Amino acid sequence: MNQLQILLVVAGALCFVWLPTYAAESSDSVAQEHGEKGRHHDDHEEVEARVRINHALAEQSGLKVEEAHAQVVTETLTSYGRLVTDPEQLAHVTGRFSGQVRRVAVSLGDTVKAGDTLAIIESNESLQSYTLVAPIAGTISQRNVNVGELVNGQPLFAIVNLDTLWAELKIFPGQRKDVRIGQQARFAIEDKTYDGKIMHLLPSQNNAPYVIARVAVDNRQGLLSPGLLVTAKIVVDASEVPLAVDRRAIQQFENQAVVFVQEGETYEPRPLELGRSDERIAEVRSGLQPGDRYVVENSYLIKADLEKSSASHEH
Amino acid sequence: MIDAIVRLSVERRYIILSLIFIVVGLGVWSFQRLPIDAVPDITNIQVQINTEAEGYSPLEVEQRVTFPVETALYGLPRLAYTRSLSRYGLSQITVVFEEGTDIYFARNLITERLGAIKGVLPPGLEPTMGPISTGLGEIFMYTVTAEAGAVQMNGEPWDATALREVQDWIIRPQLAQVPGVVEINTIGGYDKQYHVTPYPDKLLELGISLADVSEALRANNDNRGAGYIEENGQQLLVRSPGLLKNIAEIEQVVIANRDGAPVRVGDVADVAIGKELRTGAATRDGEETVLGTAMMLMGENSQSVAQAVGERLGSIRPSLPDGVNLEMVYDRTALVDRAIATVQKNLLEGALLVIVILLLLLGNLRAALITAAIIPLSMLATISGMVRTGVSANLMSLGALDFGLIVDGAVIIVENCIRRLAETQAGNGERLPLKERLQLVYEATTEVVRPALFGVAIITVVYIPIFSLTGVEGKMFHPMAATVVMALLAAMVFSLTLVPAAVAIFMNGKVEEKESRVIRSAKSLYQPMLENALKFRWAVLGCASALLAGSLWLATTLGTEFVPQLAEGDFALQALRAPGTGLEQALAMQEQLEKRIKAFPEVDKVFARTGTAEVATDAMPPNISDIYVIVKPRDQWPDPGKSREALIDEVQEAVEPLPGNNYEFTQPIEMRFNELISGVRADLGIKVFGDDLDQLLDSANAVMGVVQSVAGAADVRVEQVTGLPMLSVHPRRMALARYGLTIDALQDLVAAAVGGENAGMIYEGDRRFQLVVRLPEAIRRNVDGLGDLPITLPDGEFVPLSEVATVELAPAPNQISRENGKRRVVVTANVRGRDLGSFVSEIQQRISDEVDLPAGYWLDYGGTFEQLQSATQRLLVVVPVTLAIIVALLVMAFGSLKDALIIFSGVPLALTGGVLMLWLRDMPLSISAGVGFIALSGVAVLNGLVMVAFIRDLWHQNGHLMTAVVDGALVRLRPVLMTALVASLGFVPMALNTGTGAEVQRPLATVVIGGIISSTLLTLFVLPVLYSMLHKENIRRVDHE
Repeated sequence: MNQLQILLVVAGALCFVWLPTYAAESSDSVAQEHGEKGRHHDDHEEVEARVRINHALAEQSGLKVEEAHAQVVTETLTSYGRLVTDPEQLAHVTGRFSGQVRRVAVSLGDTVKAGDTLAIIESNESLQSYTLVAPIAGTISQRNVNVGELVNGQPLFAIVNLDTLWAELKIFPGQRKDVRIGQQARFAIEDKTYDGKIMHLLPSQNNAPYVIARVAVDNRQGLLSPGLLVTAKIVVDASEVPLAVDRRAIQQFENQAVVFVQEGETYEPRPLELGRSDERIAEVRSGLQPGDRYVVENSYLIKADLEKSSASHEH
Repeated sequence: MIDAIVRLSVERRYIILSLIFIVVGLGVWSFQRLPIDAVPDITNIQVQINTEAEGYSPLEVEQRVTFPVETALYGLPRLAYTRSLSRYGLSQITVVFEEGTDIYFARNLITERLGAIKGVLPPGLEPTMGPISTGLGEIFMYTVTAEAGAVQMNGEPWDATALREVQDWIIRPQLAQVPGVVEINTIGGYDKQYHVTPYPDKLLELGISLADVSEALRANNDNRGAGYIEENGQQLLVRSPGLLKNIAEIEQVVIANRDGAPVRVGDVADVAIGKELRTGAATRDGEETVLGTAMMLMGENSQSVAQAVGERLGSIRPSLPDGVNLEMVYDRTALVDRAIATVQKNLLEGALLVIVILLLLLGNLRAALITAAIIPLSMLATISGMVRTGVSANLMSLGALDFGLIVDGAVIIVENCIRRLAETQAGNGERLPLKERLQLVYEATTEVVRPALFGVAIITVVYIPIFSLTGVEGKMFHPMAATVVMALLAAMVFSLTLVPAAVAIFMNGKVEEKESRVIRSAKSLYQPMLENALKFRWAVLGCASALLAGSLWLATTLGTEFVPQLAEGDFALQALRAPGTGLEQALAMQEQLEKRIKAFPEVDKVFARTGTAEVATDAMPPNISDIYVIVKPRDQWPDPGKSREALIDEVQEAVEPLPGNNYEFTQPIEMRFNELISGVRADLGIKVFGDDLDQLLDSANAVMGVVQSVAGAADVRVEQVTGLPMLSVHPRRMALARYGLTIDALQDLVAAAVGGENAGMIYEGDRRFQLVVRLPEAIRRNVDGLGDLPITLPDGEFVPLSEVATVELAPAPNQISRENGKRRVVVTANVRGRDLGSFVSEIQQRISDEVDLPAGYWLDYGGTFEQLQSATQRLLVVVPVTLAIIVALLVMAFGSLKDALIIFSGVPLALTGGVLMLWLRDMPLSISAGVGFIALSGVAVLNGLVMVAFIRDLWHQNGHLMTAVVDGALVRLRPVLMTALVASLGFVPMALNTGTGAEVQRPLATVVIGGIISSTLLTLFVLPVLYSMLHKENIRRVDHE
């Protein structure tokens, strides 16, 4: 009977051989599979964030590197407003003595110089004719009189000079602190740019919550007209900063603004403290040295490479 | 009963034989309806509910769409669980039903529930259900490309938008009609849109708002029918057409009137064909393309549907504009053909080998043919059964079929009939009269039918544990077990009926027992060896036990592999990039990547999907690409001998240095399965459920801290939920009020300005395109300038956006995952060097002690460990029960526990050979190999059964144990050798094959061959030895009496 027992045990044990191995094997294979992935993960935690890309590949990937150096940062602010005529360049001409108009020398739209004859009026009192002359140079924009009409103190002509127009830019409360008299403003109107200077800051009429910045705009070419809406970039600050970087280079990495500095074939993120910036460049207050070579174009690739280990496809 | 059946079969032999025609007819008919695919479908019963919510951020998607839809699904009958994803512009809810639920029933239920919540969802959002398809559904893919230098009708070169138009309006409608295709999914290019892009300063100048522009477009773009008039008996229909037809007409739409002058759209805006804000793109060989995917209806035959799609593609080509190419890039037929070819080759070669062996060993052509006839017949019967039970033909289901095993029963019966017939004829010296012959056949059959039947029954029983597997393993191996069992049962029925009938009819001539030379020499070799073995029985037993112990040890050194991987030939990889990567950036990276892969001479095509397709069957964010690498046929490789693994390794090496990409290598079908089944793929997944995302993340991090400190923990990770940079425009309520604006107005403006506002449709015949108002690209893209955007006030004045809102760039959730209606964050971990059970229970203990979850937050433990545990537990019950059933069957057959156990000893002895063979071929233990062991135990038992039954009968007849053992063993040498040889040789083609799919079958075949060799040798020696030893006591007793 002994043999029988041995036999039983052996047979039983053998039949179970594949069972435990089955259970163990499955957990093993899963662990192996994930081990692969895990290794990548660990690497990044141990080694400081750094990427190695050989030069050929960097070129192929379109990485462009520049040296950080001092630059002029031009901070601007966008503001909208309308063009108005210069109040000093608008003259309403009236006959001094009431009388009858004998002759009108100009018609609507004519350009006159100061002193040009506008009309000849015969005074009612002296019955003498006197000449009405243009007080300023400009364009006749109104003509309210014809030969034979009686003049009785009403404005007869309006002369306007459009050589200089004023842009009245609305400066909203949020922008107010940056805007001062004397700042440069640049307008882009229909493909042409015009430059001007803020001459005055006025409170708006009827208690609207903005102030008006007035900028003189040269219109000797006569392409602009009052009433036109303009978009102005006001230069609120333009100063040379000791160190600035191209804004395309800046990436957010681990909730910090960084640029990627190239050293040989490795690239590493440098957290920056940024100062003023314009559309193109940003001032660097700390975190970078002049002469450091940083990635300008395709800097996202480096960020992507640093963060790729966190990429996953969950469902 | 059995005797009665056999008697009937012999007497009514012609009727029985004519039954063949029924079997054949049924089989052929079924074969035409048999779904054929490469691999079994392991997808669960699921319905995807996708809701596109253009412009919605993840948080809004979750709150406004996902939550109401999910809530509506509560309490669905047969619902297993739901999970959901809320992502930019898309809500995807996956509803998983219990196995066996009818998919149409499930979809009906969902439709009904969705109908009820229509009013709750934001207007314009429409939840739609994903296609009725499975993981095997993506059967055909094609690209639409333009020839170099080809131009469109208007003289412009073909661009992605124009190609997409061809796909949407020419190709897709035709392909969608192919029977069996449920959906044509498009990705790539741009949906053509008409864009009206107003300039803010021009609007401002005229005091017009963005809303005015879209309002004007909406009000000037309609056709109206106006009934009819009867005039002089004639009916006149009245209509007023006013639809906008082209860009020039759109430009002429009047928005407002300023001092008597009409302000037209063209005065303030550009009108052009524009690009949609797309969520996905397709690339091929490094260039943008349009990719179409034909999805197959669930349960269809992928081979025939893919073929039909391919044919239709050919008939579509002539209707394409000149210069546009339509190319197939992925066709499932190729894989299925290869896989089926592998199976066919294996089965055919196996069958031929079996016939040759039968002929050689039986030495009688007719007998061999009768036996071999069982093969096609049972195959046809199996196919009928597969169709009835819904099992598809694939590598797995047909992979374990071994004709050697199937004919075993028939072999035993035919062999005995021939032996008896020959003996009797030799005695009489002439042919037998019919009646005697029939009687003889009957007797010969019944003599061995019982052990044969029991053998087959036992082989069938050993497959029971396979049926207890659940989940993915179950889905993979159930079909295999089901087919084998069906084939065995069919063969069993045939050997009871057809075989005796056929023997009675056809073995009418002179039957010579031409004991072939092989058998004679085997016998002359066997006899002395057996006698020696009986003499040195302790040595024999010792050797056997040593072998056993050795192979036991060997088994522990073998590598392991869970489920074998079917090499699909082509392969795929997922490129994972940093979350938040934009689509255009991803495409630039993709271009570089694809050019590298394409440079391999072995690679035929590379194409990829990045982001989500039009129908979100796979909701991928734009930072992920699914890349398909189609390899050339092997004979076109520079080195045709290079292994697929080597190629993949080389590709991996080549793409690894590319900055910014992480890769996961996989295969097309496998990738799709993973996407659909998903779930937690680590050993342990701890799901933290709750409301607040930040709190969830905190708790998850706390859990991670604990898990990390537990010994054996590896790869501990918290699911990535944040990290999507988001530009938030926070309205300032006081400021808004000061200017008389509402938050709504502000949000409308931001949405229209950046995202665009739909202002109607432009119809070009059947084709319809959206008319969208949004800011010009240069202004829209300028993040700094966003604050400067002027907002038109009700009084015609304006205010810059920065005055009434603050613009802030901050990371935000990139996706929100929910499960069973609650937000969740998963912490995953793997286990190294420790058993899973204790690891999990320690973690559970530690977490409940150390992590303090706020009220309303709870944990759930899941992951692979769950499946492993349940599988192990089930098998721990099922395997012993199965063994008990086998023993019980044996006891029933012999009425003796001792004999049963003797026979049973063949099982461990068989396993030794299997293990040795695996080791020799350097193969890992896998479930495939496990199935091999199962089949093996069946064969081993069958061998022993036949031998012991005969020995016992002899012993009972002549009463002398030792002579009975020797004679019995000698007489049974032929059937034992035959069954062993046919069973193992039947598997030889499978073990040696290297075609597609062979990796699934190779371990199985290897185990069976090795095992049968060892078990046969051991049956021939160890079994008689054991029998004689264990029955000695009885002899003494008999002697005493």
